[in-house]
Amino acid sequence: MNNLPNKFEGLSKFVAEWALDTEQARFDKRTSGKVEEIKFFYDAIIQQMPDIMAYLKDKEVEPSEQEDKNLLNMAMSCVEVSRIFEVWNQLDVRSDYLDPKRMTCLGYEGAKKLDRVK
Amino acid sequence: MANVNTEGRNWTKEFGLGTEPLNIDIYTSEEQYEKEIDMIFRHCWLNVGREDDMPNKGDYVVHDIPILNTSILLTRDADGEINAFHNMCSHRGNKVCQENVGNSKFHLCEFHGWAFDGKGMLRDIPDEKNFFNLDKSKLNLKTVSVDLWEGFIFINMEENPKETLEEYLGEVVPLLKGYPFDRYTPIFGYEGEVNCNWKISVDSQQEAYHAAYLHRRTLNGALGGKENPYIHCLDYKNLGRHRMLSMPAGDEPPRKPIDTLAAENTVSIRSYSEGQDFSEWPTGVNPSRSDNWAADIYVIFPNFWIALFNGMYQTHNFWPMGQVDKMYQRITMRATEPEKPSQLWARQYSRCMSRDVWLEDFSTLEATAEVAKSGAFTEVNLQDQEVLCRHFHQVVSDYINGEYK
Repeated sequence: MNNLPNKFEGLSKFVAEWALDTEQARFDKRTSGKVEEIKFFYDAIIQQMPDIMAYLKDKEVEPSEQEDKNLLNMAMSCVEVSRIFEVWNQLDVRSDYLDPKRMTCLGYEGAKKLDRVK
Repeated sequence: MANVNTEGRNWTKEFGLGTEPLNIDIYTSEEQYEKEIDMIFRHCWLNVGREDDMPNKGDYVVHDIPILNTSILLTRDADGEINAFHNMCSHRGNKVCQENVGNSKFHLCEFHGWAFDGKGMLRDIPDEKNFFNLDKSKLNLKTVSVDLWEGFIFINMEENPKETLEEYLGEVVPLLKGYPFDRYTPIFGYEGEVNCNWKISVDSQQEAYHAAYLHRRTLNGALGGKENPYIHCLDYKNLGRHRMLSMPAGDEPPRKPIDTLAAENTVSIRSYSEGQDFSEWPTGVNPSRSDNWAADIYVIFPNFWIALFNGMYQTHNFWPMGQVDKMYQRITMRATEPEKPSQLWARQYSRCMSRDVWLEDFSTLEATAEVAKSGAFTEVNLQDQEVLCRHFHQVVSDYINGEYK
């Protein structure tokens, strides 16, 4: 099954794990993961990010095709994990921060309306 | 080109403030805390969000405010106007709205079904004929003073506030007139309870000194840069009870792959102002008209904070929570509405960057609060670039001593 646009099918194996559609889900995925496993995803997608952005430039802001949604959500996950490898050299911004689970994300996932995400 | 030309200025002196250390009581004294609630929060205009939290007729939002012992119901009525009420039924005092957000033409109290409309008018009483001499005109929802500034909703617990909101905001109003607040739509929010005095968190957001170290990884040269390593600000303004600072961008901040890609796709939190024509901008945004401007922070007394960037802005609300060392913080972020998924993606970058910066900020709050309580730490030394903290505590002190003019 092709779950990404043809051009990006090389990344298909990551869809189930990384095409996550909320900020909270992506955050949880990163913070509960292992750096080595996340690096596998990051290394694969980062090279294609400029092409992914070029592709998404021509789409509707909320894509109607599932393949495009998956691609966008994986690109969102790429932002989420990029800090590990580009900035922190560790899984989290700090090891001693306030546990993010104590904060509630008010997700505005692309839409204008406030939608409380627990 | 050096990005800041304010060396040699003494902001603390220009603000008319002393230079002595501040007593740790400002964060720990229960007596002071009680006075802050009584003499500040019960009298000042307080921000409770923004018009776009409730864009449609019938939309409502509830803000429970424990320190004021009330729950506030904000409604957008059938004429599109914003109203504020005590969220209490005029029959037996039950909360009229149990949900935090929603849309409804009428608000029905779950207890006995009394019905009120968006203007707070009592519209229906089940079995009305069995009541005794009811004067329905006195049983509408009890209003709370409310006013708007640039789309921000403020309430005031005084029935007849001594100052209008515009008078209260003073110089802030002309400085920010024309900033496109209403063009930017919500993209992110974050809220939660933190075990610290509310002013510890306000102070963490009104100086740039900490960004050079605490945010050295996350912001990585985005502010200040090599020529201004301690992020000396472009400007500070004493705005009566309010205050502002203007932050410098780095000269050539290093950009990693994702930073670069985000900057190519939309304005982001790390967009820079070089080459921008500021002539049409409000005078209070990048007031020094620097080519190296990054953002301005306005702190609206007592507990509302706005950071203005190029193409986006953020807000914080800091609420004391009934104890000297408990607070609730609500953060929102708004930016240009994306037209393409690539711009949506670039906004996500701004969200992650901001969230991570906040998590770094939060890492200091509870530790600072614990140490403040230890008794071993007795005073706080502030440097000139922390002038806004000093100004804040002076205003708080003036208010609780009845000396604010």
